[in-house]
Amino acid sequence: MMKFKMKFKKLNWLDIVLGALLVIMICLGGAIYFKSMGVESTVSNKTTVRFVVECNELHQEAAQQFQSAVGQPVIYGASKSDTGVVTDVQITPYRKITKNTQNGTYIYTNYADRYTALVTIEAEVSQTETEFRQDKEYVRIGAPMPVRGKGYASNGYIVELEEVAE
Amino acid sequence: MKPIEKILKKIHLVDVAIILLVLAAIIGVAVRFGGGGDSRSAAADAKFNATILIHDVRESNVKALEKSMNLPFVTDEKTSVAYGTLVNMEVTPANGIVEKTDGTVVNATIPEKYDVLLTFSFRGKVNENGYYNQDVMEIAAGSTHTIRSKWCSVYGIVQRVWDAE
Repeated sequence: MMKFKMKFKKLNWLDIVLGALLVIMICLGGAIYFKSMGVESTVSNKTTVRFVVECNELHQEAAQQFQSAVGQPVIYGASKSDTGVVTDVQITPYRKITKNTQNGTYIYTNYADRYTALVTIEAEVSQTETEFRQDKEYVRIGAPMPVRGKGYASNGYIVELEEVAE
Repeated sequence: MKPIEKILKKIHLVDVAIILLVLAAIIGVAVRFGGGGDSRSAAADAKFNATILIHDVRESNVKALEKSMNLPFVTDEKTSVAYGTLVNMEVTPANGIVEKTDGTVVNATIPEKYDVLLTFSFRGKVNENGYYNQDVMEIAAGSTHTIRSKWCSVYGIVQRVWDAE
């Protein structure tokens, strides 16, 4: 403790000037760096988006469970902080692209007893030039998007996205 | 006592450390972007273009890319780091390779899927080591990037990079 106090006492005006200079340089460098990196327009305003999450390889009972979600609130995203309302659910047979190695083509093949749920969600979000986001979840086509509601939960991908006209 | 001697007497180990730290930072920045003294030194705020191939995407993704035309893309969604601006796109039916049972390999069209060749315009730095965007991400043929616009998130491979005229 004594040693520390002695060292502290030994600090003179030059140390303080150099220390302050270093702090200013770091702040200035950081400000310039982040300003040059950032996307220019980040003005945000509220809008409503409608997006479709495709949940694949569901068993029949699980797929039917999704249909009971229409009109109900839904939590979307891994952070479980963003919510919307399910406006529609379409159930279709699950199909996957496979290779036909006999004739050298790609074909869609239906999986027996497996279904796809296309869950349409409407949510109020903020928008900027680069994103739609309510709280933590970014809504973009191609992005993975878990969904969960009363009695169902699944991982899926966003396959459609549109802004809802006011 | 002369003023210089007075100052020298006041210099501590911590002062020397701070000065060395500042010098190291300046040298680091100079080496990273200065091109090591080469005549083709780093061009700050240089403009260049690159094409990126997005393979095997749905029609909805193609439409989302069309909506993203002339808009900026980002790589890191948390900091909204600027990647580049989409300026052109060419859409073709997606093709994949199928190895047949007779041992031959054929190029086949993947139904309902598309390949999209995106052309991006970048602002950044160019030196003899390569092309760097504003995020100091190297844009080089063969490298893979996950890029995001307001409307979509796609994964692609850089095909070609060239200086903008």
